[in-house]
Amino acid sequence: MVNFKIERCAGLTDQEVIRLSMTNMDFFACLVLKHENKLLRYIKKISQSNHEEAEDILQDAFIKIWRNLHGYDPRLTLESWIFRIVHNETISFWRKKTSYSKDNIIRLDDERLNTLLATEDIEEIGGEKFFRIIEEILPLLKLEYREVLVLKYLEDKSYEEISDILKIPEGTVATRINRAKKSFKELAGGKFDNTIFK
Amino acid sequence: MNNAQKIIDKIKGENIQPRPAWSFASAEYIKWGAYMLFILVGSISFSIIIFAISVNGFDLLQHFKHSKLESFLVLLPILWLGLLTFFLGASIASVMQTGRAYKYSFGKWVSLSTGISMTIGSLFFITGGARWLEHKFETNIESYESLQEKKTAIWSQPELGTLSGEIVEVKDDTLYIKDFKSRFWTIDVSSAFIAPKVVMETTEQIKLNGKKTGDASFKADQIKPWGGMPGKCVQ
Repeated sequence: MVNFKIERCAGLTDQEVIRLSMTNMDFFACLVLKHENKLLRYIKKISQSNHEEAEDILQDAFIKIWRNLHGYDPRLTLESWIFRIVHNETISFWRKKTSYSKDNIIRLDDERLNTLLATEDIEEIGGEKFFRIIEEILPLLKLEYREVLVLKYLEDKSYEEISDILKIPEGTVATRINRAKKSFKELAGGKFDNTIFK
Repeated sequence: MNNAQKIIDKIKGENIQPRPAWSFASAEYIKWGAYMLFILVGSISFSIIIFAISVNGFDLLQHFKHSKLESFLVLLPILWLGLLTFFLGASIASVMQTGRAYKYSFGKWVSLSTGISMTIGSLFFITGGARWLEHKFETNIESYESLQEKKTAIWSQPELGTLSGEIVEVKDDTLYIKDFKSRFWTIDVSSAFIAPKVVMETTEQIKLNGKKTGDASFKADQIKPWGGMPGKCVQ
């Protein structure tokens, strides 16, 4: 059993957690405990997987993280590095699960979304209805748009962090975010203006 | 059972070990090493391309009777261009696999790699490396068509307006030359531009642009020095 308290990692730097994990595997549990909630949320947003599937992806990703622990590049934040591996694992899962070409088609005539947009007034940004519509629109976006929007606006990552997670130049991150916002607004049928991306 | 427990149990149960640090470091070194090697080979290819241009002289394009594109392709050292393209591509593919390469766009890597290849290639050409290497290829690889052979072939097409050879006699506005296939030609030079570097004396090797006017006669528009050793076509 892992009799480990996350508090034991409090005050430790990323490098210290990695170093201690090498000699005491229980410290590795600290990494899982520290990051799992936000990673599970990210996996679900990107791959539309259920909770069990997301947990499976998370476990496989952490096994990979363990295997590649010596490959951690300290120029990245540990969280970006973990996100990168989880992201790659999620994409592999998503590609297996869905037909790539089919999923890439933006379904502008999506019935459920259109009904939601037609019948609901979005009362405020951050309100329940607002998030319901976001949840409906995200899966309709192309994967490359969805991932940058989730990282930027739901996970609050900087351009540099997104660049490190997706392994693309920061300029490309900026371009993708702009295109993703445009695509998002088109799908939302004018329900949102630029303020939601602030 | 929580996720941390499941993960730790799996790692312990299957005795999964982290990959050793040296394997990551060596993989990175191999990729950078491959990048530099490919860049170097690309540079050598580039230097031989410059050498080819300096040997053949692309001003010939103005006088060829073929289309510009066709003539250009004939003049280009296709083998070396192919090698340059291949090794530049391989170098970029290699460097893009390294740890932080993603920080720069593909276009930037293409520009940088091409720039490095061109710089090293130019230095190699200037220091005579390209000439030396081309000669090595020519003497050691039987199937290799040297630039000199190509040059001789290109400048031995009187029907297409090119001729080359050695001056055997000079008489007023008429030159008598022996081409590199040992055929004798009478050249009308009355209206030809003669490059200042050409010494109009016997044994001087020259190349000419102009028009074939008979079985063994040619009217020259331009006369230039041959500018190098004749190729293997000499009989």
